[in-house]
Parts: sequence; C-alpha cells; structure tokens
Amino acid sequence: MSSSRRVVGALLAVLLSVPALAAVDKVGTSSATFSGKGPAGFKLDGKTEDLKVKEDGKSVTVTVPLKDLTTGIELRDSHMRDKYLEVGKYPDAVFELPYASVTLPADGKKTSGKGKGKLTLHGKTKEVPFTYTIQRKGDTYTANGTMPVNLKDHDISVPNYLGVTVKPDIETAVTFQFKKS
Amino acid sequence: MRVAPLVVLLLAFLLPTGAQAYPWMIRHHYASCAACHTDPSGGGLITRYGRAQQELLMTMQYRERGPNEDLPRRAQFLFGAVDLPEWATLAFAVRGGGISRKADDSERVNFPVQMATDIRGHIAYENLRAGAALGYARKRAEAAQLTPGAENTIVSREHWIGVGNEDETVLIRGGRIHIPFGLRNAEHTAWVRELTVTDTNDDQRHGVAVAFNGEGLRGELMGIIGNLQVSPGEFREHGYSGYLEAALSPYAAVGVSSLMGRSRINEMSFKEFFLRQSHGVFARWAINKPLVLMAEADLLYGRSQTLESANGHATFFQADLEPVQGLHFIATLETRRQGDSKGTGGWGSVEWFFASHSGVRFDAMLHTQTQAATTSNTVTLLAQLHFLL
Repeated sequence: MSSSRRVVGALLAVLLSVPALAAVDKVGTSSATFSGKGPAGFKLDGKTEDLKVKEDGKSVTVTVPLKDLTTGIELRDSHMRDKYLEVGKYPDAVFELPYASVTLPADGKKTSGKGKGKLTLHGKTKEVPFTYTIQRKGDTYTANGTMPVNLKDHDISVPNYLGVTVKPDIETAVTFQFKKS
Repeated sequence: MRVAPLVVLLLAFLLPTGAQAYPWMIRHHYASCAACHTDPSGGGLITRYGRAQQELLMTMQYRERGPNEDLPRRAQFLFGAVDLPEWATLAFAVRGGGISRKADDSERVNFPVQMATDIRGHIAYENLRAGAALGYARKRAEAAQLTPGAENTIVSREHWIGVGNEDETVLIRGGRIHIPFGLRNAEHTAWVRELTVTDTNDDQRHGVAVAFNGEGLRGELMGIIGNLQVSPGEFREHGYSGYLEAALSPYAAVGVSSLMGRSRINEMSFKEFFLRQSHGVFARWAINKPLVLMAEADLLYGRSQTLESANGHATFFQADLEPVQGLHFIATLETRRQGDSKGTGGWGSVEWFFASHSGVRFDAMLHTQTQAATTSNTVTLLAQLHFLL
C-alpha cells in the first residue's frame, strides 16, 4: 500500500469515527414536562415520557413528540393537542442547542450552565434561553434542562376554559439519561 | 319499629347536598381551591370551571369518553337548561338524609336531617366580587338564621362583598364568611370542626378577611367582629382566625391554623368573659391517585372569667380511597380531650357520585366518650343524598 493510500485510509477512518464517537445513546427513563399557571393559584402540569436525543458533533437536538403529552384530564388533553398545539400539523417540539454550549462532567462530577438554543414549536422557531445540569456516574450521564416558553411567540392561542385562562409563559423541563459511544 | 330505618333511608333519597369542600381533590393536583370555588378557601358554591371538574373528575363514568367529546351541558347550571352570563354563578344546593343513633342501652332513635337547602350566588364585575347564600332550615341552623324561631327558618350562611387583584391571587372581602381554619372537610360534625367551632354548616362569622392564593402557597386571615345573626350581642365572639398552607408538591400540602375568639358569654358553654384559642396543623397527601391521606391536629385553650379552663385537643385522620372514579371508601379516626372530657371515634363511610352533581353517602360512626369517669358509646348511622342544580 502506498503512503498516499495509507493517509487517505487514515483520514477516512477518522472522519467515519467522529460521528460514532460523538453518538448519544439514550438509556433509562426520560421525561418532558411543562407547567403553566392561571388565576388564583391555578396550576397546570403536563408530562410525556417520549423523548428523543440526537447529537452530530455540532449540535444536540432534543425532540419531544407531543401526541402523548398528558395533563391528567382527558378532555383537557384533547383540547391541548387539537385546539392549541395542533399536534396533527405540528407533531413535535424540537429544541436544538450548540454542542459547544454544554460541558460534560468527569466521572462522579456534575456540571451546570446556561445558553441559548432554537425551539421549534407549532411550526415557529424561536431562540430561547435554557439551563442545564449534567451528572455523570460511570459512563451514564443524567441530564436535566429547563426552558421558558411563551405560547404567543409560537402563535399558540392562550388556553382558556370556562373562565380559567392559562398565562402564556410556560416553564418546560426535560430529564434523560444517556451514554456516549 | 322495623320500618323506621327504611323510612330514614328513604328520606335520605328524598331529601337531597350542596357542593361541599373536598380536600382530597389534591389527588388531581388541585392543592388550591380557588379555581373551582367562589370562596377563595374552598367549599360552597362552585364556578363553571368547578362544575366541569366535578363532572370530569368526580362523577362516576359509565362509558369511555370519546377523544374529542366535549363536556356535556348537564354539567352546568340547571343541567345546562339556562346559560348564565359569565359574571354570574348560581346554584341550588340541597343536602339531606336520615340519622339512626343508639347510645349504650338506650333505645335507637331515628330522625330525618335536612342539612342545607340553599340558593347560592356569586357575581364578579372587573375586580369586584360578591357572594351570598339564602336557604331554608327546618331546624339546627340557629347560628345562621335570619328569621326568629326554633324551626322552619330562613338562613344565610354567607354573604360578602370583596375586591380582588387582576391575577385573582388576593381577595379582600367583608361580610359573613366561612371561618378560615384547618381542613375544610366535608365531615362538618367532626370534632376538629365542632370543638374549634369552624363547622361549615352554620359557624360562619362576620368580619373582614384577606385571602391569598399564590404559587404553592395559600392562606386566609380573618378579623372577626362576631356572628351578627346571633342575639343578644353578648354571645358574639370577636377575634381572628387564619390558616396558611404550602404545597410541598402538586400532591402534598401542609398547613398551620390559628384562631382566637373572645366573647362576653360563650355560646356553647354559657361561661362568662370567655376567651378561646385553637392552634393546629393539617396536611393532605395523595400517595397515589386512588389514595389520599388527610390529617389535622388542634390544641384547644379556653378560659372563663372564673379562671375555669377547658384546655385540650382534637385530632382527625382520614384515608380516602377512590378505586374507580366516583366511588369513595373513607376511613376516619378522631380523638378529643377537653377538660375532664375525652373521646375517640371511628367512621367508616362510602360516598358515591353516581350522576352529574349528585351523590349519596353512608356513614357508620362509633364514638366512645368519657366524662367524670362515665363512659358512653354511641353508634350513629347517617345516610345522605347530595344534589346540585
């Protein structure tokens, strides 16, 4: 084998190995939650355990399918899915953040930080701030992230039902575990 | 008299209750009451949203609701026959039934009870709000009656006017108001309600109250000028009462209560220049959706002009199990001690919300009480029907 062939071969190996080394395998349970507020101490909590994480070396993408988002009351869920989020047309909430904005901890350590990412919800993309903590135990990382969402920024109607109006500012959070392979 | 229990049972079905407070709604993450009740501390009249939650979360469902099936009109006022304007809330509430009681070796007594037959209303105009209830009482609602006499009276349990802020987190109101103290539990004759004189049946007081319902924190403090529907004025108690409850999570909350009242003559003991205090703690915890635990413990202090004291305590512990929506199995334990009188009690109850805004409840109670070395046992059976139009 000539030296040029060896160089090309080595380069190919490196190029092919980068995505593999940077890949994220989600393990264990995960959840995406939101919390809304209304009048007189009214609180509304929603949750789904369906969540996907992808990383390509440049950015991390968290995708939350919205069809299984539940709030504990079926009628409220159907209003949320069909009337407000319009899940048929916009099935996912997608959050993309720069890979460089997250620091992974050493074994037994925890990191935390904040940054800005792009949230696509209800067909509208908006830059939003986020905070995170990542804890590492062996080769398993546990990530928690929070992010404020304003419904009006995403052209979502402000939910109102029989005199109870939910404020447009919603708090969202995700929790998941992953391994890097 | 074998027919007597049947008559009592029948009366339970013929004499229909109004919307009560249900602290176990914390199983649905409702630690705060104000979205569903016009009273910021819960109980009494329910809002349009509250009626919807009652239909969706409390009433037994006999078929699976369609994914896009909206709320039936029967959930609203008069089963949806009349559309009320958004600023008005109205309800006709009836609660009644029958009691069968046997104390020691004495003969069992059976009698019907008409607990509430009230029209309740609430109006809201911008930040101004007003609520009132007007009803009929056959007997035993002396503290709430507007007309004289021992029987067949017109009663008003509450009437108030207030102003709130835009977020509806604060409401300042004046009038006749439920005393803010402890768990606003449906068992209004439980010792924690009876001995602290915070029975929601007729123990409301006139005064000014400030209620707060914020994120994870709620409370109300009331300055009491007395029950102006009680005469003569010497019986009117003035002082304060209040509670503060913090939600530890969406399904657990703990609170503290404090009450002090002074009257020229105590309406229960007829002792002169009576000062009473109650201070306590309470908690609600939905272990999971079907099972909610609730507890309250209050210290009691009472002292008259003659320095005769009536100190003691009252405790309440309740487990509410709802294995299927609408059907509740309730176990309650309670204790009391006041002066040389003490007691323990146990309740076994079944409550069934069988249709929209309708419920039936059966209670079996055993109370053992000791006073001056004499012990008595009382077994009480109570059947009641709740109905709300």
